[in-house]
Order: sequence, then structure tokens, then C-alpha cells
Amino acid sequence: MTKPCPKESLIETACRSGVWDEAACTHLATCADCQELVLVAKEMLRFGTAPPVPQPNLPSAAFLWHRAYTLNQEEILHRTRRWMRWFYLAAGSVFGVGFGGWTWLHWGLVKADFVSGSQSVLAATASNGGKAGILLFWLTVLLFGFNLLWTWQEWRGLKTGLRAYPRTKD
Amino acid sequence: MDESEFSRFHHQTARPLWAYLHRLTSDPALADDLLQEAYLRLLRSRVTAPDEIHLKAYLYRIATNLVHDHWNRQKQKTGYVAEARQMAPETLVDPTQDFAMAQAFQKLTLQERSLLWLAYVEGHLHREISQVLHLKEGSIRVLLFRARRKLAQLLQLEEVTVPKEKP
Repeated sequence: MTKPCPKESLIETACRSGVWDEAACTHLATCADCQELVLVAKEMLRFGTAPPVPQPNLPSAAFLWHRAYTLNQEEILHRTRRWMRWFYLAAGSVFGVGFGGWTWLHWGLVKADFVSGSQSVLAATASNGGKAGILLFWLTVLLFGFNLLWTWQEWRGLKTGLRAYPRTKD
Repeated sequence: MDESEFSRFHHQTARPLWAYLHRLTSDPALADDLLQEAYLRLLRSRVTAPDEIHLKAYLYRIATNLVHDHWNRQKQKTGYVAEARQMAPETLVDPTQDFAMAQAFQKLTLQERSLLWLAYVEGHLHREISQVLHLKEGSIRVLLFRARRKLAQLLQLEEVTVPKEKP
């Protein structure tokens, strides 16, 4: 036969429960497929319950519990750091645009100082009372610099295998 | 699930799960690693199962997926699936026991091994097996039949004694 016996579930239930009623016994006596099922089930159970020679190295429940907790905490930390990086990047961009905008709006004054006094744009901005512009410039530098430092540290961590996230073994 | 509930669940399932992973992979060290990973994923998933039977089915599903992922990675690395590799006899079973069964089991595919193990060692119902192996419940019967037939042919099983009727 190439198809399973329609009364297979009857035999499977009897195998599982160990209770063989008359209907199951009668069918089993005449069905080769179900006889095969019983034999394979017996062999599998014998095989499955045999103790393996190498003893399992089972981790304790307490270890697994605390490891899972640690991994969860690391994941939260990682997620927070990712958001913080995006925030720094966005804030740096906003301040950069602010500084650029301020300089553009006061370009007339800045340009005069810049050309005549051979000052840098930054010094020219400062001499024209652009304290806000200077503040924006340094905030931009600080935030982008911090982001760069962070990225470099993570890259170095990846290189040396010191990931924030332990991955599963390949 | 709190720590004490998990401890009880771990106590009930760790050894059978290790045996399942060991028979699927034929590698005790790999079974150790995959078992640990399966429990960690179960805990981190924060799954809410109605009872321990569902939780156990979910754990076996994770474990089976991990074995599949492992073979897939092996396949990508080496270009072939090493699942049918032959292990040293002493790593498979106690030499005093039936070595032929261990050898025959190794010749089955991963899916066939999982099917037979879950059905006849763990005693799972077809519905539970379908959940663990991501298969349709209706196809379990046919797949199990084919796996059984293949194993019977490999073992050359012929005789059966009809059990006496029990009340």
C-alpha cells in the first residue's frame, strides 16, 4: 500500500495509551501497515528512552533565567543607545543648519570682516555679535564628534569581538 | 512565567529535549548549545502559553528551527548538508543497545527524524507535531506513514505479535 491505513488512528491511540480493545486487536491482526506502525513505534520508544553514552551537559534553570534577564537588559540598553545616536545626529544637524542659517542671514557683516580683516568665518561671526551662531557651531561640532567617537568605539568593539550583543554560535 | 515555574518546566523538559536534539544532530556538544539557545529564546520571547503542553510544543518548535538554521548555515559554509554524516558508534548509543536502529535513524532526513521522534517517543498528537514542524495537520499522517515505512525498510522489520486485548 502507498497510502496510510484509514484505521491508523485507532492503532496509534492504542499504542499511545497501551490499551488494546477488541476492534484494535482484530484490525491489527489483518493490517500489514498497522503492524508496521506498531513495530516502528516500539523500536522508536526503545531507542528514544535508551540513555545516550555522552551525558548531557545541561545548564541549570537559574543560569538560563539570569542569562535571559541579562540579554534582555543588554537589548534594552542597545536599543536606547541606538535612539540616542539618532537623537545626537538629528540635533547636530539642526544646530548645523541653525549656524549656517544665521551666517547666511548676517552674511553682509560677516563678509566685510572676513574679507577686510582676513578672519575666519567663525571669528567674523563672533566679532559681529553672533554668540548664538558660535554656540550653534560648537554644539554641532560636539554632537557630531560624540557620534563619531561612539561609532569608532563600536567599530573597535566589533573588530576585537567585544560586541554589546553576544550572538549565537555558528 | 516566573523563575520557579520556569525551573519546574526546565526540570521536566530539559532531558527529553536534549535527547531530541542529540538524535537530530548526532552531536552531543551541538545539542548542548542548541538546548541552551532554545531555552534562552523561549524566555526572551515572553510567550504566553495557555498551558505547559503548548509551552513545550513552542520550545520544541524553537529547537527544531535552530537545528534547521544550523544545517542551513552549514550548507552555506560548506556547500553541502552534513546532516547525514556518520558519527562514531560510541557517540550514538550505548554499545550494548541496538546499534542498527541508530544507524538507520541517521539515514533518515531531518524532517523524518523529527516526525518519528515527536510521534512515538514524545507521544505528540498530529496537531501538535504540525505546530512544531510548521506543517499542515492533514499532511502529518502521510509524512509519518512514509517515514515509518522508510525506517521499517532500513531496519527490515517483519514480524509483529498482536497484543492481547486489555480491558
